[in-house]
Order: sequence, then structure tokens, then C-alpha cells
Amino acid sequence: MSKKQTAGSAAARGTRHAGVLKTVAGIAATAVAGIAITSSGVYALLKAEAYNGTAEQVTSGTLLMTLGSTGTSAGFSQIVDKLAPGDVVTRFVQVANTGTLDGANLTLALSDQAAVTALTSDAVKGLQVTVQSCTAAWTWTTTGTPACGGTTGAAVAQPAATFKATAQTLAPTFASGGTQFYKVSLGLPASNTEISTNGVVPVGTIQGLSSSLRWTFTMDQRAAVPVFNN
Amino acid sequence: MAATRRRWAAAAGAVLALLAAAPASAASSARAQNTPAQLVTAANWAVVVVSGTSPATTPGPPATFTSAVGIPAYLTLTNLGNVVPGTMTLTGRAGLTLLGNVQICLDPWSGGTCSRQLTWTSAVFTANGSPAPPDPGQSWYLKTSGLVVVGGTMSAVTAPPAARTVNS
Repeated sequence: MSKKQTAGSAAARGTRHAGVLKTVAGIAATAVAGIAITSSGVYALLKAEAYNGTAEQVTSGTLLMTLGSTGTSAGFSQIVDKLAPGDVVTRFVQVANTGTLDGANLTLALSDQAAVTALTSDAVKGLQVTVQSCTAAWTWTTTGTPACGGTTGAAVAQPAATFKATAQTLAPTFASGGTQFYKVSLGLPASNTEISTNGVVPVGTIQGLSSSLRWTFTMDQRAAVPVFNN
Repeated sequence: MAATRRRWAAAAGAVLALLAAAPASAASSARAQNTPAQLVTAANWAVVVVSGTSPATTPGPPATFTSAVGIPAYLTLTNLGNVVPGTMTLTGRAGLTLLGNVQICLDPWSGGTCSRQLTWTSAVFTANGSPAPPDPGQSWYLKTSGLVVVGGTMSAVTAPPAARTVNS
């Protein structure tokens, strides 16, 4: 076979391949167009919709609480120093529900932030805590009896060890925007009278101990309420 | 196999039941705490008497001493606590007559003389009396008179201070 004849055969094969490709492309295009036409035909039916012209507003509530001192009191930030048997030292604090939700089951708990001593672990010889609420600020003199400017709640009196073990309930409800004023008293039982001889303290002494107290007020959200209209 | 499948099904049911119950206990709560923590300390009303003229830094046994005519003995009484005791009682044994034989100086004795001598009429010192027990960290320097032959021990016995009521 000559070189001319070989070249002519190759050109003929290339022409045939191009024709086949054109045919396949045409079939595919036709098929796609047909599917498109058919599909659009399915969704071309009538439909209607309705919606609220003014968007429905939905917000979530907040459950927030703050703790601060009251009036001229430094609150819990002031050291209760050198407590002796029979001493009672009272600090004044206030708790505010600053959220938008009402609270429930307001409690107070105590925890140690340093080494545990008999001050908070001994329910008999250790610190005795008394907490009383007032709906308005307390007024007091340094040694006088504090006076509630509103209505007092029931006093909660327990050893510090009990406040550590179980949070004590202060109020069943706590309305949003409300403030409760508390006087928190710490004392050592007068029964701790210890006699020291030559600088030696008795075994199990309450003398010279220290504690670092963290007070935690906690409230739950009010019960969830299903609302069907308003 | 069937029994195994039943057990798996029961376990899965229990898990689903727990998950279904979870929202009831997932209600929110809020807390408020004091920062920093409130510091509370207890008083210490311990006072010690030791032999010699160095202020004591640790508790010790009753101070022992011997003195004779012309040879006094020196003791030091130190408040190791952090408060003035409600009462402090000095007790002596074995021949020590406190009022007659002991002099108290607010400074160390120097050559047998005292620059600030304390006048005392009772071995029981009260916090609101005169003189009151020493302040925390303060020492009293005691000297036996040496007028007679005495020897024995001396102790300091302390009781807590009066109770306070503080609102602040």
C-alpha cells in the first residue's frame, strides 16, 4: 500500500467519527429538552398562599440575679475578724432579680474557698448563720438592732455546716425586677468558752481558725406556662 | 437471639424514656455569688509565761524559776493570741506569793531596774480593768523580788473576751 492510500483512509475514518459524535449530541440535547418541558409541565399548576402581614414577634426571657451590698455596708467583702464565743457579726446584702422572668425557690448555700476548718465543719462549735429578709433596706447603727424598712421574712437559722450541706430556702418566689434585702449574721456559740493555760489551747479548739466563705444565692425559673391566647 | 433482641429493645426503651423526661429537669436557674470570698477568723486568747527575758513565740509549760535573797529571777509573759483575753489569771505554785514577790515591767529589766513598772493589786487581770492583760504580741517582764527564797512555777490562765455584737 502506498503512503497516499494510507493517508486517505485515516482522513475517511476521522470524518466518520465526527459524524457519530454529532448524532449522539443531537439525541442528548433532544432528550434534555424533552425532560425539561415535561417537568415544567408538572409544576405549572395553580397555587395560592397566605401569610401574616405583620411578623410575629418571639422573644426569650432572661433569668438573671445580682448580689451586692446594702447602703454603707461593705457586705461580704468585709472581713469578720477575731470572732470570740458569743460574738454576732451581721453584714447587709441585697439580691436583685434583674432578668425578665420571675424566679422561684430562692436558696442560699455556703462553700469553703480555702482549707476547711471547724468553723464550717463543726455544726455545734462552728459558725452559726442567721439570715433574714426585708422587702426594703435595713437601717442600723454599729451596735444597735437593725431595723427593716419594709416587711421581714422568716429568719433562717442554721449552722454553717448545714448551709454547706444543703442550700437553705429563703423564698418560694422572686418576681422579676424585685429586690430582697438580707441581713446575714455570723456567730460563734457562747458555749465555746475555752480556758487556755500557758498559751496552749484545748484539743479541738475553735481559736485562731479562719474560713473563706462563698455565699451562693440560686433561683430557678418560674414554672413553664402554656399560653393559648392573649 | 430473640431474647437478646428483647433485652436490647427494653434498654433502648429505657433510654428513650429518660430522654423524654429530660426537658422537665432542664429548666433554667440563676446564681449570684460574692467575689471575693468572705474571710472569717476566730479569736485566740492564749498567753504564755516563760523563763528568761525573751518574749515567747510559742506556747510552753509553766515557767519554772528559782530565786533567793539578792538573786532575783526573771520571767516573760507574752500574749500569743490576737485579742486581749477577757481575763488573765497569774498563778504561782511552790512558795510564790505573787503580789508580794513579783514585779511587772512593761520593758525588759535593765540592771535590775524598770523604766515603766506596772502597779497591780490582783492576780486576775480583766480586759476592762487597770491594768488590762497585755495586747496581742505585747510582753510583760516579770521579776521575783528575791527578798525571800522562792522557787516554783508560774502560769497564765486566760478566758475569752466578752462577746460583741457588730452590724456593718
